[in-house]
Amino acid sequence: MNYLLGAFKPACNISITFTDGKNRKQVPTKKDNGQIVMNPLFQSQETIAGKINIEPYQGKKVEHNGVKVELLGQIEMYFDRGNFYDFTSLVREIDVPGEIYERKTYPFEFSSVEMPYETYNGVNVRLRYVLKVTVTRGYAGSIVEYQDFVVRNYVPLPPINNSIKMEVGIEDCLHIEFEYNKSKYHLKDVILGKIYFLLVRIKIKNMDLEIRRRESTGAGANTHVETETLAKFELMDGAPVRGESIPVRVFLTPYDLTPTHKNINNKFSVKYYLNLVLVDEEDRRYFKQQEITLYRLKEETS
Amino acid sequence: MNYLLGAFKPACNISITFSDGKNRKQVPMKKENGQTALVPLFHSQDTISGKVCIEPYQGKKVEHNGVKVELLGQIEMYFDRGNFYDFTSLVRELDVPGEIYERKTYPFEFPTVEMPYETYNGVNVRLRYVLKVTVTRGYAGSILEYQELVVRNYAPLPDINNSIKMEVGIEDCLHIEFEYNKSKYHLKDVILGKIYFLLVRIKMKNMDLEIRRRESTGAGANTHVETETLAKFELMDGTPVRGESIPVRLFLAPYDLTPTHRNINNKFSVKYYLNLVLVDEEDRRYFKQQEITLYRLKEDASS
Repeated sequence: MNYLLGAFKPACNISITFTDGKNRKQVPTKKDNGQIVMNPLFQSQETIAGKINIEPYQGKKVEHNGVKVELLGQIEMYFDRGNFYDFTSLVREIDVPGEIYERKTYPFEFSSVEMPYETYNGVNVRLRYVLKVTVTRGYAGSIVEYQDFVVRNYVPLPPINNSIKMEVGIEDCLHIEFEYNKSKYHLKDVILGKIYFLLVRIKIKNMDLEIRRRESTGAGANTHVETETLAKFELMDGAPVRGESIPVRVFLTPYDLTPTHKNINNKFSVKYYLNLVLVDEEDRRYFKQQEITLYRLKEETS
Repeated sequence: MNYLLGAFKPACNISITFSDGKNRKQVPMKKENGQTALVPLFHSQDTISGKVCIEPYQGKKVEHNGVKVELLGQIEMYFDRGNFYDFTSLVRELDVPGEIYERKTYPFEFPTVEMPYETYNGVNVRLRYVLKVTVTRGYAGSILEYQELVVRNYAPLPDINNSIKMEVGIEDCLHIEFEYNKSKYHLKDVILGKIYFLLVRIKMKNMDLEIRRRESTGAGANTHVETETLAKFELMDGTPVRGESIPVRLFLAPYDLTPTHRNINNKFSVKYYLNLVLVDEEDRRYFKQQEITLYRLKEDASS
C-alpha cells in the first residue's frame, strides 16, 4: 500500500529562500487552516530576490517543459473563492525544457517592485502577494510551490490633522459635545478626547467607545458590507450630570488594526469608525459614529 | 446603408495621453502594416502616468461593467502569432460598473515600473510594452484601446573591454592576424582595428567586414535561428602582399542595431558578430566570425 501512496507524491521538493531572509523581519500570518506562520515583510519599491532549490526525490528525475517564477499580487473575494484577480504579475523564466537529476539552484530577482497595496486579510476579501514557482510538465501535471510574503507600506505624518468636534443629541432630552484630538491616527497611536454633557434629562446607565471596521466589497448593486466591532472601551458607568466632562484615552496598540484602505483597485474598501454609545436605564442605545483614518507610521518614529 | 455601417462602430472613442507627453522623447516604430509611428520612449524604473479619456459618440451612452488600464510587457513569437506571453502585467481598475454619457477622464499611474528588457522587433520574435484600456461590456463586447511605448535601457561603460586579437588561416596557404580594438561596442561606436597578412600564397580578390545579427528563438530541439547581414563594408580590393596591414574603421551609427540580448526570459537571444570575409579569384570565400557585444550608452555620454 505504501508503494501505491508513494506514486502520488510529487517528483521533487521545491524550496524558495530570500537573499536577506535571515535579517529580514518576519510577521505572523494566519493561514486558511487557522495555523499561524511567519512570513517575510517587504515594502513597495523593494527588490525581491533569492534562490529556488529544486531537488528530485531519491532516485527520481524530473522531466519538465520549463521552470518559471512569478511574483503575483492577488485579490480574492470569498464569495468567489479560489478565483484570484491578479493586479500585479511579473514573470521570470528560469530554466528551459530539460531534465533535473539532482539538486539544482536558480537565482531570481524582481528589482524595485511596485506593491501599491498592503497585504490584507478580511472577512470577505483578502489581498496577498505570493511567489509562485512552476515546474511545467505535460501529462504528469505541473509542480507548483507558493511562498507568501507580507507587504506593509508606511506613510509620513499627515501635514493636516484636524480634531473632530461635534454636538449631538435629542432635542430637550440629551445634548452632548464630543471631541477627539485628531481625525487621523497611526496604528500605535492614542485617541485622546473628552465627552461634555450639555443637557441630561434621561437616565444614562453607561457609555462606551467602540472601534469598528467596515469592509465593503464589490460595487454598485453587488456591494456587500461587513462591520466588525474590534474594541469596546467603557468610558463611564453611572448617570452623568449636566456640565460633566468625561475624558477619553484609548490606546490603539492592543487591537488588530490595519490602515484605512480606500477603494483598493475598485474591488474593496476598509474604513474605521469611532462609535460612541450611550445606554439608558431602559437599555435603549444612543450612538454616534465618526469615521477616522488609520495609517501606518514607520515604527521607529511612532 | 450608412446607418447599417454605423451600427458596427464602437460606442465610444478612447484616447490615452501621457502626463509628460509633450516633453518626452518620441521614437519611430514600424507598425505591422508597414507604417512608421512615433511612440514615447521610457526607461526601466520610469513612472508611467497619464490620462485615459472616454468619449461616447454623439447621442450614445456607454453601459459598462468596469474600466481598467493594464501595463503589459509581452513577447510574441511569430510562429505563434497573436499569442502573447506576458512577463509583466500591472492592472489599475479605473471605474466601477456604470454608464458614461459624456466625455470622462481617468488619471492613472504606474510608479517606477521595472521594465527589464528592451523593446525589440525581430524576424521571428517581438518584445513590446503596451498600455491596454478595457471598457468591459457583456454581450456588446468589450471596447479595447492600445497605446504602445518603447523601452530602452542604458548600460554604463564596461569595466573590462578587452581587444579581440586572433591569428587564423589555412596552413602554408594563407595566414592572417586580425585585431579589433574592443569586444564591447555601444550603438554609436566605431570599430577600429587592423588586418595583418602574415602569409599570402593564394590570389585574393577582395576582403569585406560584415555585421551579422543572429536571432535565436525557442529552446532545445525547437530552437530556430535566423541570421541577417546588417552591414557589408569593403576593407580591401585587390591582392595583398605578405606583411601588408589593412586598417579597419567602421562606424556603427548608420546601421539599425540593437543591444545584445542574452536569453530574454528564456524565450530568445540576439547576438552580433563581426564576419571577416576574404574572396579569392576563384570566388571561394574564407571567413572568420567573431562575436561582439553591443550595448546602449546614454546618448550624452556616447559622443
